[in-house]
Amino acid sequence: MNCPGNFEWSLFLDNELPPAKKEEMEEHLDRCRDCRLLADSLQEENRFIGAALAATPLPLNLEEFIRHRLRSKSRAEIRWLFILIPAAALTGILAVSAAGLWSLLENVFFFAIMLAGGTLFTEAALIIAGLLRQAALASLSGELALPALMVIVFCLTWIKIRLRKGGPAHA
Amino acid sequence: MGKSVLQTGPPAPDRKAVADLINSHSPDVYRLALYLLRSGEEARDAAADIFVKIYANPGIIPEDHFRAWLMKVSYNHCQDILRKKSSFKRLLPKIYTRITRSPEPTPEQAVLEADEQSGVRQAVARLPDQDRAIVFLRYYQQLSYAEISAVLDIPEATVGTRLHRAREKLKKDLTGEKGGAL
Repeated sequence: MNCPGNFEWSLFLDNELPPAKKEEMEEHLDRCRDCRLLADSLQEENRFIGAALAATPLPLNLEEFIRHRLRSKSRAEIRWLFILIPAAALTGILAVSAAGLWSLLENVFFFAIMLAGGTLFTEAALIIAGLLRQAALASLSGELALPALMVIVFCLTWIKIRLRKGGPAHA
Repeated sequence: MGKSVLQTGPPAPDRKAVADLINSHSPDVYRLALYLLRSGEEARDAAADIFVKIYANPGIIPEDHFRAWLMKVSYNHCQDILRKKSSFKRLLPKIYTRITRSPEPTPEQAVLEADEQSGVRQAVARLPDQDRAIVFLRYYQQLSYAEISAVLDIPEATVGTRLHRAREKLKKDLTGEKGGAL
C-alpha cells in the first residue's frame, strides 16, 4: 500500500472510513514511521482546533440573560392570553347570535375533523371559507359586529404569531 | 451518540427541564451562533431566542441525537438571521454599513483575544460560512460526518471534502501568520 495522503488520514482519524479500509491503514501505520508522524500531527491539530474553539470566551451572565428572556416571554404570553381569551369568547357569543347556533356547530364539527385527521390544509380552508361566508352574510344583513370582531381576532392572532418569531424552531 | 445525549435533558414536555438545558447547552449554542453571525451581541440574542423557541415548544425535543438536533435548530435560526440581514443589506446598503460597523474591542475582549488559541479562533472566523460551521461541528461538537450532513443538509461525502478544504485553509492562514503554528 502506498502512503495515504492527508485527506485519507483525516478520514481515518475522524473514524469515517469503511472497516476494511480502516484496518488496512492501521496495518500501514504500524509499518510506516512517516505516516505515524503525519497521523500524530494531524490528530494534534484536531485536538488543538477543538480546544481553541472550546475556549471561545462567553459573555458574562449568558445563562441569566437567557433565563431573563424566558421569563419576559412567559409574562408576555400571559398578557396575550388575557386579551385573546375574552376576545374569542365574545366572538363566539356574537357568532351564535348573528349567524345562528347551527352554523357555529357546523364550524365546530369541521374543527373536530381537522383535529381528528384528514388533510390539515383542506379542513383549515373549509373552516376559513365557512367563517368568511358567515361574515359576508352578516355584513349583507347589516350586522357588522361579527365581521368586525373576526377581523380584530384575526389581527390579534396574527400579531401573536409574529411575536413568536416564526413559531416552533424548525429542525 | 445515542439516547445518552438526553441524559442531560428532560422528558420532552417538561418546560422546567428545558430551562435546565440552558445551563448545560447555552455555551454550545452561543459559540455556534458567534461563529456564524460573527457578533457577540447577536449571538447572545440568537441563543436566547433559540431557547425561547424550545421553551415554547418542548414537545419538539427529540428522544435521541439531542446535541445534533440542537445544533441543527441553532444553525437554521442563524441562517434565518443571516438571510434577513442579507435582504436588509441589499435594500439599504449605506445605512446597514453604518449601523453594523464593529465597535472598538473592550479591554476585556482585548485580553481574552490575547491568549495563545485566539489565532486559531480568528482563522476559523475567517473561513467561509459553511466551512466555519463544519469545523465547529466536527472539532468542537465532535459530531460525525452523518450528523453534520443532517445539520447542514448537505451530502455526507461533501462534509469530508469541505472539512479537508477548511483544514487546509486554516493551516495556510495560520502558517502564513505565525510560521507553522498549525
